[in-house]
Order: sequence, then C-alpha cells, then structure tokens
Amino acid sequence: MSRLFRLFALCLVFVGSLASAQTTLRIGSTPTGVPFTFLDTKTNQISGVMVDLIKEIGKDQGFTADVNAMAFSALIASLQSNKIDVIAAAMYITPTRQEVVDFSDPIYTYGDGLFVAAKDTKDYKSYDDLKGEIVGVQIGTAYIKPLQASGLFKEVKVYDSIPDIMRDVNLGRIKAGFGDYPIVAYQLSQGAFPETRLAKNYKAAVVGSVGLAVRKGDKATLDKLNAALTKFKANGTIDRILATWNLK
Amino acid sequence: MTAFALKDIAEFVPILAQGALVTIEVFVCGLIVATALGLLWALLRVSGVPALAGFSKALINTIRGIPILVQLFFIYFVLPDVGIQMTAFQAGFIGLGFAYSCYMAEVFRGGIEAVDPGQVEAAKSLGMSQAMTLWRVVLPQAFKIALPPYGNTCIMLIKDTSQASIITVTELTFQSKVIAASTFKNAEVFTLVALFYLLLCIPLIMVVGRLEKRFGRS
Repeated sequence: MSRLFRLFALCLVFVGSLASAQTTLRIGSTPTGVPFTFLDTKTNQISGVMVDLIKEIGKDQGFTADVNAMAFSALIASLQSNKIDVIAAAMYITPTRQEVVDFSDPIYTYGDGLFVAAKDTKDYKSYDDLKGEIVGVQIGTAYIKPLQASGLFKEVKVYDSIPDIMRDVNLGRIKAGFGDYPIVAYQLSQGAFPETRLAKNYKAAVVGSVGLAVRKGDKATLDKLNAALTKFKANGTIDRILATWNLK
Repeated sequence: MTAFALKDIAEFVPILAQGALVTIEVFVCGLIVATALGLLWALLRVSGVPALAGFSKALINTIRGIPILVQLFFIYFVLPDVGIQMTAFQAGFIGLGFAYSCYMAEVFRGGIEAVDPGQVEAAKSLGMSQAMTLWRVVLPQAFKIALPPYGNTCIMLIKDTSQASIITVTELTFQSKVIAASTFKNAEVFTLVALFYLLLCIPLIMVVGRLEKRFGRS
C-alpha cells in the first residue's frame, strides 16, 4: 500500500513540475500611476501601459504576469525582499536605483510636470518661480533630491501618491506639486481635480526613461524582458500600447 | 557593523531626530487634549444625569469602535470638504487626542467607580455637595487607582503617533519611510527607528513607574 502511495506522490510531483513549466512572475505596480499603472475601478484590475507591456512580454516569453498593487515607495523594497519578481511601473532608470536593482532597456522618456491651483495664473517656468513656497512631491521619486538640493523652497512636502499632492494643491495646503508629466496630465484630463492646472511653460528639471526592474543579478528574467522589448520596439508593439493610452 | 553602516547611521540620525521632535510635540499636544476631554467624558458619564451620561457613553463607544487611522483620514481628508481645514500637525494631535480621550475616559471612569461607595455616602451624610464630594473625596482616590492604566495609555499614545505619518505629519515613522524610500537601506533605517521609539518610551515608562510608587496605592 505504501509503495502505491509513493508512486502516486511521484506522479503528482512529475505532473506538477510539468504544469509549472508555465512560470508565474509576480509583478509590482502602483494603483495611482495612471496611465502607466493604475487601478481601473470599473474592472477592479491594475491596468495601464506598463501592465499591458509586461503581459505582452509574458505572452511572448512564456510566463504569466501576476500583477500586484503597492505603493510606489514599496516597489524596490518588495523586489529586494523577494515579494515580487519584476517592477512594472513609471519608474525612472537612475544611477541610485541601479545600485540596488537591474533595469531593462529604456522604454519611454519624459520629464517632471509642475501643477498649481487653477486660480493661480502666474506663468511658472522653473523652480525659481516658486522661491519661498511650500511644494509637494511623491515619496521615492527622482524629483525629491533636486527639489531639496535647490534650497529655494520653504518646505518640500513628501506625499505617498500624486493624487494626494493634487488634493493638497486643490485645498491650498501647498503652492505647487511636482510629478511625472504624463501621469499629471492624464489625471487632470480625466477631470479628477478641476481646481488644479498644469504649468504649460514649465521646463522639466528631471528627465528620465522608465524601464522594468528586476532583482540585482536576476539575469534570466532580465534577458527575457530585454529580448521581448527589442522585438517589440522593432515590430511596433510598444508604440501601439503607448498610443492606446494617448502617450504617442 | 561595517564602517559603511556607521556612515549611514551618522547620516540618518539627524533626520530621524527631527522626526522624533515632532513625535514628542504630537504626543504632548495629543495627551493634553486626551486627558482634558477624557476627564470631561468620564465626569459626564458618572454625573447621574441620564442625558449627559447617555451622550458620553454613545460618544465613547462610537469613537472606540473606529480605528484611529480611519479617524485621522476623516479629519484630514474629509473635513475640508465641509470647510474645516487644518494642517497635518493639527489634524494629527487633535485626531489622536480626541480618539484617545475616549480610552482615557474609560480609564478615569474605572478609577472613579472603584472608589468605595461608602466614602461617597459618608461625604453625603456630612452634607457635602456632589461637586465637593467629587473634588475632595472621589477624584484624589480615583487618581491613585487610575494611574497605572493612565500611564499605560500614555505609552500607547506615544507609539500611536506613528499613525499620523499617513496624513503627512513629519514625525519619526514618516521620516523613516522617506529615508528608506530614497536610500533603500531598510534594515538600517527601521532598526534605528525602532531604537528611537524605545528611547522615547523607556523614560516615559520609568516616569510612570516613579509616579505610581509616589502616588499609587501602597
């Protein structure tokens, strides 16, 4: 009887290992980085450019993308502590980050956007126009250091997400907020914060490219991602996805 | 510990110390609000006037039934919609103070009700008014009884100031989140923060212990 049981168990393991030939990679994304990654309340799923991209890569490279939502500032920590395998979010490839994670090839380039209250009609062009004011920025982004280093502002308040910054601009708690230009533009175009406007003539201070991130040394996954990205850049898949979200 | 880690500690400690200062500020302001209001609710509840007692009981139980975090969200994010605007710090200590006042009220009520009723009757038979009985006979004894749970609640309050980080109060936990998010050195930062909280709490625990020895029941 026990011999039969052992045989059965062995069969299960064998079948199990065949089934897991289709691996699942856990993806980390944020719920408020529209249009790159966001929670679509209609479908209750995380959607967006980066999510579409990683799912396409999954189809191409043979893995299932299991998308998990978390705060932007928690993404790298989660990757390092093995809670996720890939970061698919609006995350710039920066030297600081490259010390702790490995990035794929760049996917899309953009700079920061400045937003203020709609009532505020001043034409903001750079940091200098906000000298002595209280400004807001998102935690964990590449925009914090330049803002703090400039020494121009009364206070640089750090927030969990861009909608939080917009809310405080709306309420007059802060004079202006900085965030990824596409995300800010999208949020405002959806009409979520009618009392906020983008400073049209503001020149981006921090321009960067977003990429997918994997754990340092995870060459296997990185190669898969880059192989797919190269293919997609050539056959126009990336352009197609960007166009779907009005980024092209 | 490598020299590199020591360099990080030297870099993080000043920022965390600033956060600790704000933690203490939120704690002290919150404690004043909590103690004052808590005493008020407790007195209302033992007042013997059904309307007042009923109101106090309903308030205490409602506030105790909602997580402090949710209350802070409400005060900071929802109240502005009805025109009540306040800074993060104000929302922090008022929210914490108000929430904790309900727990303090129960601590005080426990102390008041534990005073031997015989004392109250004796005071009544001596012709003392209810107010005087309360002030001269009940409260001094209630104070001694309530001191240990009061001290305990204070210690809980100082740690619950960390919840204010979610409404952007730049206290200790908030600062640690910001440093961790920009340097990715989670181990160093969060260990330091835990030590900071211990450094804040241990003196408080000792002070409470001392007070108990001096004023408490022998």
